[in-house]
Amino acid sequence: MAKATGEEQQGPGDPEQWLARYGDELFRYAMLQLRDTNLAEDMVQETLLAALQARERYSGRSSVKTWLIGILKHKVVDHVRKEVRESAREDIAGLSDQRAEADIDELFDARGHWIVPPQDWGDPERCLEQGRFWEALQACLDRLKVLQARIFTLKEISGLSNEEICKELEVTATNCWVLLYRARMGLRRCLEAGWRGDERRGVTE
Amino acid sequence: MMMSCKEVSMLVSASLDRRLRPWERLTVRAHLFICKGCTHFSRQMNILRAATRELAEGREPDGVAPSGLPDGARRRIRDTLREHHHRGDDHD
Repeated sequence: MAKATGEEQQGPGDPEQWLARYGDELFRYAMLQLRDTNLAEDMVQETLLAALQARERYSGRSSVKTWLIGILKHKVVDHVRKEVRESAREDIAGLSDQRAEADIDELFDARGHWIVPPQDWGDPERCLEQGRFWEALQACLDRLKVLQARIFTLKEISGLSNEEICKELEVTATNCWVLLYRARMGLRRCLEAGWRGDERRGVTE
Repeated sequence: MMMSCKEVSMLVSASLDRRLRPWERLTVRAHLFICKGCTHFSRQMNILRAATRELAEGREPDGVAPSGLPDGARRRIRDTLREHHHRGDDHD
């Protein structure tokens, strides 16, 4: 089993090579998901150790990079699942349908109209060209509650489906859906206050 | 009956997660036609989606994404890998 050196041409190569070649990318990916430097570093290490152990099972069908990112994705989901189990239980428990409704209700009047109607952010492409938009987005992502942020990134960055998220995190479909809705509402409000607020300072109100 | 902005905002969010049913799509479209707030909301959701796509694919502008793996961590991980790698060789 351990005649690794001779087999390296077909195999995925050496773990130190992985670190040298893909370390940055793995780290960036973990940071996008978890927004915590120490945690992201740990994830990179765990990923490479898991890859080292699973080296013989690397099929060569995907590139080494894709293979490593795949392992990292699993590690991130595992971590988030643990987080949800350990620390966020209360959040989930407090997420009864009524509580969730009440939170959302604050944004609307009794007839279901916006209390503060969303503003026009202008041309989408131009939006994404502005450095300030991205700064605000990062800041707003950091400000989301942990559970909302985790679910939002699992969905929007990792590309998991709602069903996968519910299954992995053992939350109900309603909770999952509500968490995503709240995360999006929170982000848009935060962006409007921060980035659009800067843009329009003195013009609104 | 006309849907409220609240209901429409929920459906717009849901439309990012699943395909809306035909009647849902129709009601949302009818509402957006007459409601500026919800039209803006809907566009904002598309901008958010587009932005997170760029992040996921690493296409965001320079300086937005965190820089690479810090040197200290790189060294630490390299040492750990060496240790495990060699230990693995011994056992095999």
